[in-house]
Amino acid sequence: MKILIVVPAHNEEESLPKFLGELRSLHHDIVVINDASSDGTEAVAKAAGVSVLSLPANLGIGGAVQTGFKFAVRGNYDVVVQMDGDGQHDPAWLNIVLAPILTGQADCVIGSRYVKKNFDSDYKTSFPRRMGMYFSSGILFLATGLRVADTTSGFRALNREAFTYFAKAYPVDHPEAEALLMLHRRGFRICEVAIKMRGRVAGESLFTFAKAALYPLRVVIGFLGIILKKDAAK
Amino acid sequence: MSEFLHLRTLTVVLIFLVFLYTLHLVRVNKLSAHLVMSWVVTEIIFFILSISDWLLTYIRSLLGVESSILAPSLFGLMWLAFLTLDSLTRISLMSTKLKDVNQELALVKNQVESMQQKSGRPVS
Repeated sequence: MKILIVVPAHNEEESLPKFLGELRSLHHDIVVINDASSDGTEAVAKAAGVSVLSLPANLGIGGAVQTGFKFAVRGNYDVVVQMDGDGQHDPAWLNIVLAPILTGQADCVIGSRYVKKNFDSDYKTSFPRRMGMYFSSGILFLATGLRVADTTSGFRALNREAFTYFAKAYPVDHPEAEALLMLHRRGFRICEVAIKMRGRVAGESLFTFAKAALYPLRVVIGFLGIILKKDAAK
Repeated sequence: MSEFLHLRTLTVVLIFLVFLYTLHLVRVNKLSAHLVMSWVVTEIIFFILSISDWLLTYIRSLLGVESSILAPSLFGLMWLAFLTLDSLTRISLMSTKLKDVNQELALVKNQVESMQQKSGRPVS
């Protein structure tokens, strides 16, 4: 089974070398999506010996991740695992996240910090992010009846059907919650597995206070957009 | 009456300035001549309406609102809202195309580099 690890990265030259070193020890294919970084992200990723897709203009996390899905479709991969380039996603949890996909129990698996039975109390989530997450979880539940505790987690595994769908249509700008709505509407099975995340090694989170303040509005507009529009991937 | 004349002069001058600015944006390549046609036509119509009493009166009678001075302005605003929506539609389409081209460029560049590495040629 061909597994591809997609690592979106924007100005992550400090975090990437160690993280990619850990990932390489798992012996899966890796592609780093360099989202128009202004630092040496592309150089350190190439030096680590992994495939690098360098976007000439910054597309944000959604556009970057979708580039990875397109790469996976062309490379005829069976499974894609999405992990952030800031090193917060510990590769030690990869097999846990992959398991429901490999056994055919789910089409999309979310590595979650907040699953009740194994809550990651060590991980410190900023207040704005936590509020944004509660909000998007609530909206997602209202829209679909789906209970997802960690809607903003970027540690996800997708089977071929799911990432092929996302290669054709994927939301931009904080796409995680919207992506779950899209999957649910197409009948894909989503599940969460408990994982623990590490603190950020270097760099700054893109989820600033200003973005957090607008996040609820963005989620509502994004959800309305998905519900209203004809399915672009059909 | 002089107040009305003053307002009309101001309107004509403003429309003319907006028209000149539109032409300037086309000249410096910040606006596409094709995309700006609807705006230029709108500005010309507004200009004609602001200098022609007869035309304004005719439009009011056509709409059956002779007594309302604001009626033509309301239609003008609605038309501008439509033009704005049209512009947003074009921007959305362009954004999607730009994203696709951006992604395709990254994928093709990666493919070329892989082929160069396999053939032993230096990667530029």
